[in-house]
Amino acid sequence: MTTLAAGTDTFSVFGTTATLLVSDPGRLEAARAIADTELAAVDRACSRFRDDSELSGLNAADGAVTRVSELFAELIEAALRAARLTGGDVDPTCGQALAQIGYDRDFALLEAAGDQPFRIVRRTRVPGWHSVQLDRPRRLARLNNGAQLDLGATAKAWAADRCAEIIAAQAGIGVLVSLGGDISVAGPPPAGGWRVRVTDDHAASAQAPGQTVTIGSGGLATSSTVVRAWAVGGRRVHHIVDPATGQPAESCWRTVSVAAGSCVDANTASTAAIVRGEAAVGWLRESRLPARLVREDGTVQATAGWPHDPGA
Amino acid sequence: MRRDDQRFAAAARDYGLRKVSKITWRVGAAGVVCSALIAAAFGHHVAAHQPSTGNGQHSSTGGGGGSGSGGSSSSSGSSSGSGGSSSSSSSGSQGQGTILVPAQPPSPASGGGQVTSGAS
Repeated sequence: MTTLAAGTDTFSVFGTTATLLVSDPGRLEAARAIADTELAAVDRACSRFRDDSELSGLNAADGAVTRVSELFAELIEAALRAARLTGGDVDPTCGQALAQIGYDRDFALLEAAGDQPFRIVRRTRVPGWHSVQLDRPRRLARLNNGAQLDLGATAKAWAADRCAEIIAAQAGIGVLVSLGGDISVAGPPPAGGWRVRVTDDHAASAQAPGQTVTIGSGGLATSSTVVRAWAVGGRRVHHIVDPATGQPAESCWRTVSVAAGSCVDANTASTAAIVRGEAAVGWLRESRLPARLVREDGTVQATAGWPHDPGA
Repeated sequence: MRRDDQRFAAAARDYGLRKVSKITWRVGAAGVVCSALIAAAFGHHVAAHQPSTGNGQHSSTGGGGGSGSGGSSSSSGSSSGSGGSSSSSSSGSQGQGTILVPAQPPSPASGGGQVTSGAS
């Protein structure tokens, strides 16, 4: 084990903040270069707000079979896997639902626009992940039933895993990659592990209300209804859509943090937990996933070995 | 002589029946084997595609789901294309049928963190 994680770099990506921690500060520049390359490729593949992204092309294909890149195919596959493992509670076909509740542009622009005019939005199930067809070997994809993809629930976490894995392999160092609070670590961790402050908002300070834990491998992700929220006709809405209604999930949990074998799995579980509400506790326990669930009133519940929070 | 003819006829009938029976059994067995081969060869092309236009499906791994929809599905996550334009395979890059648990749960720590995990 290395003794210190000394190299830190923070930058903007995907409309959020990214942080790189490396065990060897001398390799920080190389690690950043790898991250920049990988994250740019992911953005080109699956940004919902870029007209030239593959995702926008597929969404605009009107159900036609479309050839996709290997990277985009992997991203779609990861999203379908998340949907399958959560029984459809984390669904990649929420694109249209998100647009209908106002999230139809980059979030910075949405935030700047302020309260949006009232609109009537029908409660209706999203087309569903079974509407997505992917021929992995031939890299062909098609969306049926008018489905519109949004990979927001998995792409960022998947990208964190990919960056961490490549940096650790190529630079031969221990690394932590955080993309907007979706954290993936790879390579040898520092002594005692990577220290992570778990809280509502990834942009909060390292002393913000919450809990500090250490991790040595895998991923840790947090989903919350208090961040990436906006107002429509005076009503507050957030970005975690319940596929069963096409509306922001009405959850008893304000924030859920999950540790898993990878960041994309952690984020899959934390997002599903928000959607599932009370039932999430039993599901996380059965799945042996350590999690910290925070209710609207701030009370905390933990599962599957998540450390006791003396401050809770 | 007549009795011999009757015996011969009976023996010929029994022989014929045995032949027919054997052939029938072999054809049946061959059918079963062929069915199994065809299922194995093309099974991955029909990975549980469902129209999904209204009813939610929950896989067994998603048990206890609370999104208000029921049913179950064991789909591989991708499905066969119609019109011969698109078929599918299913294995995810992670390849696991469950969410991966961490090698170790997080450990408690005091003070602030090197980085923050929160929503974005």
